Amino acid sequence: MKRSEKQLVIVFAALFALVLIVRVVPLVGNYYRSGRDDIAKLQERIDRYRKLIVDTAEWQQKQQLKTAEVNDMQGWIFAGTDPNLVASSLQRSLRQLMAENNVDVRETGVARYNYVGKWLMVEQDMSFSLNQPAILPFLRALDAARPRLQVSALSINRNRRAFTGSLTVVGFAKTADKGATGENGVRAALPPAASQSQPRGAGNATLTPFSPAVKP
Amino acid sequence: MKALRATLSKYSLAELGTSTRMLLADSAHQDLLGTLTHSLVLQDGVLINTANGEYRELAQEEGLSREQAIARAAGQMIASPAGPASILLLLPPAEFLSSRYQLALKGEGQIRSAIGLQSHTLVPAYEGELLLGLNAQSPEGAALWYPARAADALFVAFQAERLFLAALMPRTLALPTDEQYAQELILQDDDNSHAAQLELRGGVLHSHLVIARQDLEQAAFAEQWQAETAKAAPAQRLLCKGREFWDARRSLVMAREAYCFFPRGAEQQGRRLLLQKKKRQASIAAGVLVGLLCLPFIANWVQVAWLQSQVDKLRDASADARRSQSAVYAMDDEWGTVAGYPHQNVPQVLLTLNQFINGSLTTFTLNKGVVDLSGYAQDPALLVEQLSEREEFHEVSQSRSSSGSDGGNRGDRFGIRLNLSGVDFKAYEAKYPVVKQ
Repeated sequence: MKRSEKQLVIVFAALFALVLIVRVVPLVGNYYRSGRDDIAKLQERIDRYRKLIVDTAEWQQKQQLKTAEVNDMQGWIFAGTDPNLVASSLQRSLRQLMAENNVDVRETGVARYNYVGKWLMVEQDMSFSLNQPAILPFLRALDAARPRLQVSALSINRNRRAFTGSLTVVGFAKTADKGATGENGVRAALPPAASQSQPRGAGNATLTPFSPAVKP
Repeated sequence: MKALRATLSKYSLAELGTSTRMLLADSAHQDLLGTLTHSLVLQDGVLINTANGEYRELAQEEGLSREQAIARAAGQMIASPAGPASILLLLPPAEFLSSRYQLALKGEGQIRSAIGLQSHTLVPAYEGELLLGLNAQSPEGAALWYPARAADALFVAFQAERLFLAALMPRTLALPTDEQYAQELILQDDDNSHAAQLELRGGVLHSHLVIARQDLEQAAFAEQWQAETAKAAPAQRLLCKGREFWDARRSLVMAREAYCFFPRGAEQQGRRLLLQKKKRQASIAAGVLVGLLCLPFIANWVQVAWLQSQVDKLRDASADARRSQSAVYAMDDEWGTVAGYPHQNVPQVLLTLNQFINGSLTTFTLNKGVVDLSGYAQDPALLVEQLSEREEFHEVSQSRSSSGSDGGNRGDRFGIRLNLSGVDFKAYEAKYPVVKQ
């Protein structure tokens, strides 16, 4: 082998060693680290599965409780998927509630509806006037109402002996793309909860901070 | 490490090179002798296979050299279709020259170098290269010599017969067994033409005496022979008087490496064998190195495979739990919007406020967890403190400046803003964003 050939071989060997150090070694290192990462992930999965196996009874119990909870919540929502019909239902429900609790409706706003995920959220404003003793029973009835009327905003003003107020309630309904049966086998066609529930704590029905000189 | 450094420091660079070359040559010789398949001994013009006693007389034809005659006889005896025959040829002691040495040197390399210098003066009329046979364990003894040209001629002749002549050795050194070889021995080897006596002590040749039978017939030579042979120290004698000894041998002769002579072609073959061996060792070492380097990756693969099998087993075993878990999560996902809507317990809020405000509230405004109150109180600051202490409320603050009432006994007019605990519309709206229609 000639000297120039030897030099050429040495240059190529040096280049090869350089490529080996700069490119191949880091690649191999990364490959090894990715292997270790895979192992760590697998061990994590194994730990998770083992814990799940130990907690099988607990999860089954949770499922039962959640199913019962969802069954209960079926009564919280309004039937139908059409926003206008749901808004009408909500309005009707609220009016009925007010009428039953001696609250006079002064003005009913136009229902607003929005979509939250796959749910239809209807908001209804209403202004009213009422007597002082009707405040607490009305609010309790509102709290217990089924389908549920969630209070978003409430304002009560006292002007001499008259009480006026405004109320914004929120109701939910499933949107059209939701099936009649829930994903978890919870049947949507459960007996609807009573639209009017008996107010709780009727004994304290007239106690409000608006009551003049009444001690709790 | 220190011992190795001390050993290395004793040698110069040249000596180290010589030692390395000798080491490699020794390895090549050992490899070569390791391949021996036949040992043939020449006695009284007859070539005998020591393994089976088979023999052939050397042909005497015009134009046929002695080397060719030996090779032909070997070729007639050895037909080895199974593989290449590697032969140790045992020649009569008379064919070897000897020289005594007594050197105040230590080390095989030094002794061999010193004796090697004698080769040109040993046979004044002979200018050719001589091969040296020597056991340099002892600083005194007898060295054997054999013409390199004759060894090469034998190698070529054997090669022509498709035989591989690995080494040459004086047949007399094949007389002792392995156990006897390390003892003190006098080896007496007579044939039709020569008488020989070799003195062997601990594997080192100390004398090599050979005389032609014709010379023994002269009284002066006979006396001198008697005198020389009588100088040998008393020791066990081994005799070989003729062919019968080799006929009865019936075994492959163990080569004595120190006194073996290797033709140039055999040396090359030995180096090739050594190279092959080194290559094989290097391949194995490279394989082991690659294996060691791959070991972490192999360990990873094995571990991943084992863990994957564990995952599969546990996945099956946890099927019920996972089903329940995913059902719970799915129900949470589906009903979270409804169930998670912040519940503002307005009746309870009013009842709580009633404990601190005695019918003097004029406005109550609740909007997404924030309550604004206004009314009259004797001490609005105290009212703020009292409401702050309730866990149902937080961030209780005055929302307007207090001012004296017109009526006098109703107290000061106040404005208070507070937040309901556990009611977080911002978090709800962030989690369940509203899509405006």
